[in-house]
Amino acid sequence: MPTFIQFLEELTDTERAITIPADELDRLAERFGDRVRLMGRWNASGDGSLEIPMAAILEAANQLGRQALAQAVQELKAEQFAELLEAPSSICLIEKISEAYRRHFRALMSRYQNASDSTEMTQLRDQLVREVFGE
Amino acid sequence: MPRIHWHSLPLRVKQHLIERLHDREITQDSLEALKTWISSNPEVPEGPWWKDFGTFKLAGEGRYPKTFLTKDQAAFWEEALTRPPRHNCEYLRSRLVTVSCQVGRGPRMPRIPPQCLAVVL
Repeated sequence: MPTFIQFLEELTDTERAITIPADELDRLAERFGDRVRLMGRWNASGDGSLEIPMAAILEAANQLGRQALAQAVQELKAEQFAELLEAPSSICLIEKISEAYRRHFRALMSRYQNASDSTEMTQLRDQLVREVFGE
Repeated sequence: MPRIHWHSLPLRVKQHLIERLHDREITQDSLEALKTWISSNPEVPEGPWWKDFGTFKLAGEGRYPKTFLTKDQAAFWEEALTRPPRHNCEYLRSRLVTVSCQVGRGPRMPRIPPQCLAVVL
């Protein structure tokens, strides 16, 4: 259980991400389609895992509302693979996370295009390479 | 059908593509389209192929992505696709000087390689 300060730090750390391992991601992709890989940075060049920024998950959860979020969690935890029509809240959550991540990605591209300092440019360029192609 | 091995694309080629974003030679929409396409874990043909993202193209062969081209740069085999297959090589030969200059080869007419025929994704 994180302390109050740790929890606030987690909320404010924009770089913090959670990782979905490749095998779990494959299971999600079988169930929900390729859209699951749009939730974050897919390590296509690496281990096939997906990294989702915590900020994108928080933003999506806030937009979804408590009841729909609880429903999405139940759908995702269900061992039996439900038909897509039976998992509307999960799909909504996945789409909301994808939209939030897309905004994060576009903001990163804009920052890079507007950067003038060479050190910052190199750092942002390498970050974009990782976002597009993975590690 | 193979799936793409992104490991095989050299880091400097990836960096070069991103640098074109800073120079505004490629757009955010095009780069986002590439990312979305990568996320779909696409299948590609065994032979040569290329995909147009608007402000740049990705060319590859089988599971190996080879290079990024600018929007005006012809993939070596690209124009052959506008003709029926039996005319491909003849048509390409007639266009070869132009095409070869675009890919940085000398003006001397080389033998037409089999990879002149590619699949457009």
